[in-house]
Amino acid sequence: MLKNVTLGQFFPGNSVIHKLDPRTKLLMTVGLIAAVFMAGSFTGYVLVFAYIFMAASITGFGIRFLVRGIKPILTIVGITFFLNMFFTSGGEALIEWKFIRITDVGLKNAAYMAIRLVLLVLGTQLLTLTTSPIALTDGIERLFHPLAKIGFPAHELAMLMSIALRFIPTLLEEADKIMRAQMARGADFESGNLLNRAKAMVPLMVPLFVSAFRRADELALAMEARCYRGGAGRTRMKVLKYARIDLYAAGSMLLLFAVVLATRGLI
Amino acid sequence: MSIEVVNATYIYMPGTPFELKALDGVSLRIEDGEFVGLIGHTGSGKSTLAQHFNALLKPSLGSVYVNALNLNDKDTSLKQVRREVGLVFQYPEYQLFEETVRKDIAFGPANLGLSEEQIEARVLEAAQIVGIPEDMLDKSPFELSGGQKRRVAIAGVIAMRPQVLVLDEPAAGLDPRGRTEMLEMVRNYHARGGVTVIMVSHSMDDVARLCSRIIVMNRGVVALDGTPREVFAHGDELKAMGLGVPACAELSNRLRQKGFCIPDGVFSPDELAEAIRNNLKGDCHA
Repeated sequence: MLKNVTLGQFFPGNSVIHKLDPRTKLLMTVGLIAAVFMAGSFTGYVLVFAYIFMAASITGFGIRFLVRGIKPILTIVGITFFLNMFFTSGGEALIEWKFIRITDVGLKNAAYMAIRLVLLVLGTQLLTLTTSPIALTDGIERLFHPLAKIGFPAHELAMLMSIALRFIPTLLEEADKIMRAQMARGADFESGNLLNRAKAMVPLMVPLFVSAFRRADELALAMEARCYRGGAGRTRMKVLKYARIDLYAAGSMLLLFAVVLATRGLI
Repeated sequence: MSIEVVNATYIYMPGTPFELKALDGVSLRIEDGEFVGLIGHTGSGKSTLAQHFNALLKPSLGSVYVNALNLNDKDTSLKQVRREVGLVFQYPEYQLFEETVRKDIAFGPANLGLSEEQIEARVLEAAQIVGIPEDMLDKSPFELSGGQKRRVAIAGVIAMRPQVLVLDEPAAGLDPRGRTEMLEMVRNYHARGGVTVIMVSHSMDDVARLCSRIIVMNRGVVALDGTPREVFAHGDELKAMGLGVPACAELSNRLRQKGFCIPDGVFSPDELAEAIRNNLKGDCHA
């Protein structure tokens, strides 16, 4: 059930991508997102997909594994597709029936939007898949470090994010367990109309919230017990260092970005 | 109400680096009215197996039959199966959600579609079985102590009047007194008659005191299956699985080897003391 969700989870490994500096991976992810939005043609999307495909192969998980992670967002992709298809005006009408009007521009927009979403999730998954939450936090903190001088709470923000990421699998597991426990008491989460289904969520949501608050409380206490005072004056055991491989990785991303821009005739 | 597991294999997260074979060809049969202790070290697959009894999990390979109904069949009503096989999860107190204890216990019976009066009768009966006083029924479950919450959660399953009650570590995390009371409650529930009880545990002492049959799980397979006496005879194997034998059984075994006359099935300190006293007096009832 819920346990099989792989989106956003860290899977340890020994690939080159696992070993990249988290800052490099963060910046590359930003680059990939930019590339996805810049690519405005099928050629562009194919290029981005090829890049993700290659990266997925290097991580050892393969593209199939990433594709499985898309499942939870398929509904969103579907909704986006249909909204774009029906509500884009302009262009030549392909189908006209009563108030429904599907145009070629609409269809193209819808397809592009769906592809973008899928590529975004595929690509960004690589980051969370190959970077441990701790490394990710470190990376975010270091990246935002320069902004700390003007009062930007870089450390706090990074800590916040890492805690959120850390608890995704925990809460999913918990939700799964509570769901089973209520199913054992005859609860039915899978049938009925929308209202009944929403009502059926109460026996799941209440214990889940209670336990989330309990966990937050315990975590706060544990942090305080270890004298957590925020980031000021904190040093680290493992200091992040860029290596040659980071340069190559960043270079590959720049290349992709340049090629994508070239497909649109921008350079 | 027999449960039969035939060659069941269960794999968690197949096809990922986290793939884990929790059950590996498990076969067993549990008869009507038995009191079975399902025991094993952490990760031995005992909780996974417990969830197969009411079809919360379905085996990746093999099959599970409840009352000769194959749980893999599309026609088998899972609701019916879950009404007949009640499962209490580990730390069940975390699944409470209603405003009052009464409503929470009533959740299961209400899902069965019973009438108001029937539900009320079942709530009172279940509360009485687990030892929740009637004046506590209108409190919020979140005001209760940990042990009381657990009783309420167990009552929630008992109120469905399952023919088989599966309890996953009912005494985990309780203080010694709460532990004794909880196990006593489970014993009394089975002694009322008409129900099969399967208790999952990793404590040999607990299952030894209560169960008439012990199934030992190790690395996803059934390692031992028999009466407590039969199972405890394999002391070395149990130790290799990280389980060990209850202290009194160990002592009885050693005394027997020394030629003392200790009757079978002595697993509690009191019984053992009695047996030793009889020995000293020269009586032998073995």
